[in-house]
Amino acid sequence: MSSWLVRGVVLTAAIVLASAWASGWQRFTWGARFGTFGSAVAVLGAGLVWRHHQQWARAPGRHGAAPLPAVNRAGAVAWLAVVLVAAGWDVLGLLTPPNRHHLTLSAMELAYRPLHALLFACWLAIGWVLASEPTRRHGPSRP
Amino acid sequence: MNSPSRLGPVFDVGARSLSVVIGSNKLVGLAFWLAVIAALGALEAFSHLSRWPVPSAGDMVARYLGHPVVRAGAVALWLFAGYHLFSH
Repeated sequence: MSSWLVRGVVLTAAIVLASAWASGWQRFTWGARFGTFGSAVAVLGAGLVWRHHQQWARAPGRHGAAPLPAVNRAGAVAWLAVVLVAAGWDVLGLLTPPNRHHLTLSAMELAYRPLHALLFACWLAIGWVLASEPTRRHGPSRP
Repeated sequence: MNSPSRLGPVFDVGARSLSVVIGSNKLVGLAFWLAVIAALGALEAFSHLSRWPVPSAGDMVARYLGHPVVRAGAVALWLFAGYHLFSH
């Protein structure tokens, strides 16, 4: 079994376990606060360590900066469209009259424990991407 | 039920329209958010597993959130989202 596969399995198992653990938290408790921000610190720390190890494997771009990935515009628009539809739904859900169920993300994850766990896993994955992807640093000006 | 929000008539009309169209069935809300998560997962899967030219989430972050200050802002927003959704 390749090391990449082992790492993927371990990471997935850790996220699943953490998400199942998180689904039992009660809001406004110290357990939820420590659990949330402890998980955030762990994910950000692991992502930064991963980035540090990976930066030597990447080919340097112009002026020594990390090369920018090629992003297909139509693909980027697809990501943006999904995010905008979700954001629009959430804003409209906030304005739902008080005597009706609010269909916002936070209201739904409160109502459904499995969604809470799934959302927590997605949140951890987003944190991993934010921490592990390289940032650009401005190199010396072009001669 | 028809109390106006503070965000103006456009948002009021939008919210009422949404209520009329989808009602306030929690299962509809659950289905919508599961569909959003599935769509994002499908985009990520396509970016890795197919020849369809879709960038991965990592490519999008590296390309559009590459500046350290912008990345720090994104991390702060991510932390606030975690606070709001899971501990607040």
